[in-house]
Amino acid sequence: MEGRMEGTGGLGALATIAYRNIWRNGRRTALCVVAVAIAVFFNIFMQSWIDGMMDSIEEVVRTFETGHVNVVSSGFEAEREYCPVQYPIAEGRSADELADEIEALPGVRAALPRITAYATLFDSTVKHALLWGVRPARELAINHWNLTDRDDGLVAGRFPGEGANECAIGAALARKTGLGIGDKLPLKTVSAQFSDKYWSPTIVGVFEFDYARYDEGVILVSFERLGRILGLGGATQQLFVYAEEAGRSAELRDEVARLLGPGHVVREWADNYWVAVMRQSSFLYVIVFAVFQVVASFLIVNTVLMVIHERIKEIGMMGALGMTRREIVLVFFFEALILSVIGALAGCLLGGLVTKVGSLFPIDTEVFTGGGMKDLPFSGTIFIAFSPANIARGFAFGVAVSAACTILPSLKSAFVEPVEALRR
Amino acid sequence: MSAAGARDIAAMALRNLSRHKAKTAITAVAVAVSVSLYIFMDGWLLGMNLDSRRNIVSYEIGAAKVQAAAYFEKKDELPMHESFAGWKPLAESLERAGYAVAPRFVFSGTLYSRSGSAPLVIDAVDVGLEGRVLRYPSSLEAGRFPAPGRLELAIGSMAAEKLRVGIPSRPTPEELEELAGAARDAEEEAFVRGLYGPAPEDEAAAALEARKLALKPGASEAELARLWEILSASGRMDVRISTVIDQKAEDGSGRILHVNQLIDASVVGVINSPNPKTNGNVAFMPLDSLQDEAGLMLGGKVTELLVRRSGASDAELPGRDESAAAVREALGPALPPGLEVHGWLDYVDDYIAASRGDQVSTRIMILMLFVLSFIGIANTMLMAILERTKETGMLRALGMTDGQVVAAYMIEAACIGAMGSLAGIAIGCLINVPMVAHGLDYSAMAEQIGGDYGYRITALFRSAWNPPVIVLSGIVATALSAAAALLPSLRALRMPVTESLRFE
Amino acid sequence: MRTKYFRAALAALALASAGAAAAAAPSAASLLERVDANEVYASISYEGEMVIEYQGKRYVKTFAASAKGSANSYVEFTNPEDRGTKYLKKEGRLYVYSPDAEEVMLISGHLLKESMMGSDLSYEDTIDNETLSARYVPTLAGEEEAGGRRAWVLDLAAKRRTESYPRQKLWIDAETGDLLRYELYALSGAKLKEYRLIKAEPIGDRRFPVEGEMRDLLRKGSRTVFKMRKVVLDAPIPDSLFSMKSLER
Repeated sequence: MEGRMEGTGGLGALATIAYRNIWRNGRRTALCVVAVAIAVFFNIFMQSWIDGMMDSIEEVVRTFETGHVNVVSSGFEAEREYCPVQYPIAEGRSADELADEIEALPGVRAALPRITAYATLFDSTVKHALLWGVRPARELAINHWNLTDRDDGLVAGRFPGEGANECAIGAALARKTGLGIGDKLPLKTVSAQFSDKYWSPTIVGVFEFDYARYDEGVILVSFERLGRILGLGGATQQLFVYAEEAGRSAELRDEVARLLGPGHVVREWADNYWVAVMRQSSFLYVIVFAVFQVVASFLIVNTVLMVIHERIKEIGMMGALGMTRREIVLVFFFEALILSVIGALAGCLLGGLVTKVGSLFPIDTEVFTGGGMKDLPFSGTIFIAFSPANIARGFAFGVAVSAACTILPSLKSAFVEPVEALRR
Repeated sequence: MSAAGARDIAAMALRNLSRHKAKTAITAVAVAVSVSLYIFMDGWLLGMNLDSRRNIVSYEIGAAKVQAAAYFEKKDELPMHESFAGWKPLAESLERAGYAVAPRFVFSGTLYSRSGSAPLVIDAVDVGLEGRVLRYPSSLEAGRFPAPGRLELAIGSMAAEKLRVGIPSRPTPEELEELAGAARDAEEEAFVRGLYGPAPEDEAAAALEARKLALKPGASEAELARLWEILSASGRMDVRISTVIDQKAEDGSGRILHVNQLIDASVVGVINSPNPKTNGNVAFMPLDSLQDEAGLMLGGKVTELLVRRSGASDAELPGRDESAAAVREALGPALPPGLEVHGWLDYVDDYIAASRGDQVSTRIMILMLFVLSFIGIANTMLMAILERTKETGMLRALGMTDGQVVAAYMIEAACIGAMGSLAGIAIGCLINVPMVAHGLDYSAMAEQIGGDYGYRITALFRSAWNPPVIVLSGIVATALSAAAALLPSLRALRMPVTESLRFE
Repeated sequence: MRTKYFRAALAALALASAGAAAAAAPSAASLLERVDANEVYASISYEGEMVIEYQGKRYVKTFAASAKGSANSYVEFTNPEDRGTKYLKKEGRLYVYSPDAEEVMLISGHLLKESMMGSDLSYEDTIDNETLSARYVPTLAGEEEAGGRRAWVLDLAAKRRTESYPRQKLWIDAETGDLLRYELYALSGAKLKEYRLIKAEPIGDRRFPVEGEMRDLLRKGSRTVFKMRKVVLDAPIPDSLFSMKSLER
């Protein structure tokens, strides 16, 4: 028992023996590899699926609800559910001026002004809708409005021109009202001065953002026109700030808040309730993944046990030839480890491939939900996320769990008495 | 194959199992884990499902509603003018048939508190009858349920927080000053301040730059009652309900006329029930307080009757005798034209969508797990069969038919599966016992992990027993195991007997 | 056009001739009848100003209004934010022209239920031509001081259960007949809104409330002041003003 390892050369030699041993029974090796691969694949796939779902929610939140950093006035925040227009950001200053100032901050990609206001429609089947005042050209340079097709979401026609007496409506709204391109959409809204404003923009486009809330209830209009009608005098109700890197949102939030001073509520997208809830529940999945990996590892455990049993004579021989118990254990452990590494690699390959392919094809969530999840900022379609980080994590996780599971059975080889083993 | 032959083969298979005890055990454990996990997940899902269903039935809707057909059509708009009178005879005939009935008048309004206003849906309920159908009246976070005949409100906890009525659990320092300001003397002020302490480390709140305080967790009921009394005396609980009473014009033109109404009321309770719907922008008040000019001039009209079987336990979902059809039948000719009965499922599209989504993804996970177990068994059997190539050749040389060989291996595999299944069922059930009895309080976990975002996630997930699935999962696992032996054994049979005898 | 904004003006206008010589306590019914009767005039035109103060902000709206009898009225906004918005009431229908819409729109159906210009009156109410006497039963509730003037207090109870404001209370200057104050009540008897006369001026042989203040008691710190200038009564107004053409002009 003087056997301390003599450096890496020794380890390398043991690993070589282990590697050779693997190929003594190809079929068994294949099954082990497949099992580990399946578990790793599953982990990667599920993680990508969950990421896809989170991404979908986050993307919807970022695109439509908050941007990376969202700016509103405190007055607006207090009455948010009414979408009040009488509380513009930094009153007296124009939206463009503000946007320029924020865009001058390092790391800011764009600061987009938006206005939302409630409208009463003249139509008697659909009585209420949300006016969404945006600048389509600038918006679309930053965001995809249809997160499924990654495009502008237009189904027909075009978006309203800047300042034009035009609008685009959601496909579902168009269906319900029976209106189409060329029709007028008479409506009433209330201005920042509490005046009733009547407006009848011509529908020039129909969009489908694949986001039920918008497709059913939003009238997209020019930011300039809406601002003028609502009497905002060039100011804006909300600013959606987009960062170069989403990860810097928190810093950016603080900078924007400093820039604007008191009287404003500046939020980061991660503060959104749904994003927070989703993030909180993701730890549950880690438990599920662990169980998977453990079940897959049982196969390797089994294999190691069988191998030890099969080669009991060899173990005796190895012992007789002067290998220490520690070295013998390591040989078996390495064998298991190599199996899990190959399996994990295979799983990663498969997982990477499937998620890559999956990420190209949208999955219609209505298949699962049957629609009806309107409260959730959830687009009707999700993409599986293809993420190298997930793949790397899946690999590490798979190898680590399998290795941990095989330590114990490998130790069994240490209890084989060489002399006795040779006699069998 | 004779019966004796079959017995011999089975006996042989069993004996073979004990040749590699550890391997058999581990394979069985893999099966056991899959089976137990499946039982656990299924129980969890079913429990969640049942729980939300129960919550909807027990806290929100009851088993069925009687409503005007015109109301149901526009139910999302809460068309209060589509109400109906004379619900008492309906209720009586339903009660005779063994149902509990609770009348309601639902309307929307704006609630003004001292510090703000919020749009609210208000359920005017019969205080005595409501508790026979729904359970939320006893889910009070603070205060009590409104007393009959009085203009009192119980409001959802989220609305209470927004309107700054009730007892705040996480006030800002300024808010605490406001609370302390309600005290009538120094002793009371000390008492109020004494109930609050610094909130536990809270990143989310820090991010929002609002240092928060928290109600001391040990505060007794008597202390809370006293705090409520102090705050109430200061006018914190006084609210005004502004609403418009929609009425059909008396001239029969069908025009809807609007009467302005402003009701002074006081909040006497804050509701925080397992059903988040009761905790949002909702308030409950006594129906009988709104009958005349001080209320909504209801004159006995209601918008709906909630129906549940009398004495139904919370644990049960509405049975067949509580279906819309059954209620309709019980009413018979008593159901006036223009009124309809709808089952509870007609009101909860959003929930059904969410639960369906959950089910699919969980089932996919379970399926993958079974695949893994299957591969595990296949691996074990492949090894076993490979190992015994020589023996197989011998048995065949001695006249055993191919069918018998396959049967022997399949029985062996099935036995591993069966052992695993039994163990899995046992483990699954063992996990299920506490999960069914106590459940998992997710809200505490959520708070610890992510901090308080100002939302209370009402979540106690409790599993449920699902005997058919428990039994079935065992049978399926066993059958799958047997199937796993099929391919390797067939493969072994492809080898000529002579060759297999020579196999090393 | 009898919108709430102008109601103060119009109601007072009605009272104008009821004015002067109410020496002894008149009967409640006759007081109210005179209020109603005085809404009858050949024509009116004026320049109006409305100042909304809410949440520490001040919004000013100006308009020019003309009305002929009670059936036809025309209002055109002139402040920069609302310039070009025109309302026409004609034959019981309400039309609006908005420069944003670039067309005339008929306000009908559920839109009539909405409050007009953020006021306490719905469009529906403005079409309704029924008099106070037809809608309410008045009782003389006594004599009080209002704004430093001696006034008759008139309690109005709605005849129908469907009246928007089931109860109103009016203070009528015992000497001049000015409508000094009125309050609108909810069904429960809770006060919702109150009006106070700020200034009345003699115009021709009537007294005219040229400035008044309305407060919505649910909106904290909110008030709206109405001012009328250049009031011209009973001058001939061409019928062509009350036409679609003038809306689109």
